[in-house]
Amino acid sequence: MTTSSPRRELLTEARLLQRYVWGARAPRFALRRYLRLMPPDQKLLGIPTPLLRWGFVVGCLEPLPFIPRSADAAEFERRLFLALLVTEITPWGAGRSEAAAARSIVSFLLAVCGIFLLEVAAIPVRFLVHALLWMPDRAALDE
Amino acid sequence: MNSAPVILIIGSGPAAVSAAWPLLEAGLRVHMIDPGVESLRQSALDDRDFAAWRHSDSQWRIFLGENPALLENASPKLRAPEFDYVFENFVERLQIETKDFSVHGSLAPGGLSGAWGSGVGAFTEEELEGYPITRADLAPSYDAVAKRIGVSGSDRDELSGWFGADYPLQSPNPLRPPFSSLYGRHLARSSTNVLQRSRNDFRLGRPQQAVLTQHLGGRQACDLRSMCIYGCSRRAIYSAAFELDSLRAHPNFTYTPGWFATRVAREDGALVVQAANMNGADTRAFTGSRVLLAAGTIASTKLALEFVGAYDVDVPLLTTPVLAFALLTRDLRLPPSANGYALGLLAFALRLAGVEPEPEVFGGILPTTGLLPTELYGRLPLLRPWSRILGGWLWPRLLVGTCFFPGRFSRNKLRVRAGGALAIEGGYSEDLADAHRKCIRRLRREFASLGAMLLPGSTGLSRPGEEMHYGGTLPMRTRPGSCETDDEGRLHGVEDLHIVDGSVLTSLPAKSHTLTIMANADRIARRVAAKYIREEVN
Repeated sequence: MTTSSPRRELLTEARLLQRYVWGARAPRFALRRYLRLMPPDQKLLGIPTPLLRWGFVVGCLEPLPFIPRSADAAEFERRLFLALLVTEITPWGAGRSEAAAARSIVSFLLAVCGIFLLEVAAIPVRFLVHALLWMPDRAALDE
Repeated sequence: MNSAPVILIIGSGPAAVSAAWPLLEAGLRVHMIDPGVESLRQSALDDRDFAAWRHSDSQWRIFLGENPALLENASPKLRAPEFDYVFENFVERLQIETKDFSVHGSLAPGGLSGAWGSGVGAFTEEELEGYPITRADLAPSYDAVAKRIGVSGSDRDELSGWFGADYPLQSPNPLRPPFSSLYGRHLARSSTNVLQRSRNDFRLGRPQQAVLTQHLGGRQACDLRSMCIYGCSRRAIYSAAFELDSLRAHPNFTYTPGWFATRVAREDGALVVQAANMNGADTRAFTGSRVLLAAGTIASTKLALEFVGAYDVDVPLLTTPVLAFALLTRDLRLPPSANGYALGLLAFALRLAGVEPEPEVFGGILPTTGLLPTELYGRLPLLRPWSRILGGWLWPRLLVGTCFFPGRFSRNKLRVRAGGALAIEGGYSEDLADAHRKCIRRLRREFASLGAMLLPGSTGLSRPGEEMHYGGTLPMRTRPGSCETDDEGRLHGVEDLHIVDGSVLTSLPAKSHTLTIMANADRIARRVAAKYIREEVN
């Protein structure tokens, strides 16, 4: 294994997170920014990479809001947000946001209804995943 | 050779430059010792507006930068790479340990004003209650400072009297939809609703800001490019650093940058400032006939407490708790994409009935046109792809509000440990939760009547200290006790050391206090100058 291998694995992970968040393959140079914001010895999330290729799996893995979470869950959320942010600040990301903003109110309301139904449907699985993977240990809670 | 006395000023922020001018005008010599070094960094800003930057490959330089630590900050201004230099090394140099408190300070030229949100306003007589000075004492200084820095705002709306419009104002930046319709509805309601007008407990108007709408000196007027949060290359937003060049041109002014004042002591009857070089291990002593501490509330308090040997003594550190919220106006059409002014376009003052004694809160409303939509994506409790889709539609239609509570709701403590480290413990008063709830309820009602909905779940109270409005550690009193100052910012029994920054404010109203800090520094410096002139005459 070469010394650059962990970095390459991190890049693969970043690309998959980015694809999940944006629903498309985003500019590669955004990923360079993502990597630059990671400490040199940054480890992978610990989620098997093949799982990250499936958007609905990543969705189920996303920690639930308003519930205590472990440091690993917080790190997962941070990386998802970073994947979102580094892509947003590219002309490609800006264009996507402008397109989202320009949608009609009807299509927005339809999206709200659809997303609400999907969020509700996903809650039991996400709750289970959260309980199994992302709950902080008792010591952290006490702290 | 000039034999005028030398006054040492520690710091180069708004208070420091405000104190320097009256002393120089009186013919005294001023020596400013500043930890800041003129930055060699290259600003990434140019003439592009926000929309042009958003379509540029190099926008990451402006919106993201290369310092991952910036991303931890809650405020977008604190995350802007352009302002990174303002906050560098402060916590480490002052050896600050915090508990439940977000501390920010500056060792850069111009101090915290380098990243200022630009809100100004003069304190009313009511807000100066408990101070050993009156509004009349400050009036000439408000006038002098406002003329120097350039203040824009309205002198004939509901808030102008409350802000204090007895100093010259440039016209405010233009209102644009949906702000214009929101304000229009408020004016229509006020003109017809006599009860509302007589009660006068919710006032909406234009904010007063240290932002130029007309050129002043070497600074250019705002050209509405929506880059206010990320840095203004036109220098339309005031920073004290902009005044350093004109000060240095004065023959009686000496500027020594790169020296961090570590201690003020009395040696052989004279005040000596010990300073350490910011780039090395050298130390140096500076002497003057008087010392004016203007290093910012936290740094000045440390120097002052060490000077009087007040170690392990808790002093209060006032802050103004801030509540953030989002508004959605009933006009859901996409606002015009033209650029504009990206800081507060409207301001409000609200008296909270049902909380004793009735506090007045103050806030501003700003557009989202000059902010990245990721500010919202990260806050929606949805799966990330969906927060992006819904947030992308909502974001340009939202208005962002901030609402400050007076300093009496803060319960922070600052102490200097025997070894010189600073410890700050943050907290809020017990009645803040109740005031916060009532404030949200009132804001929801007031804005609903103007056609804007306060979004459920969008309200959040900041951590203590996050808003960087610090003051009141060494309050001015008519009869100062231990760790208190007189009306010239002097600790009890100390004749020649004046503290002229936020430390000496007796209380903090909800209103921005920077203009008052500057005016008070100007006032104290005038008093100091008058003493020397009197001595010379005698």
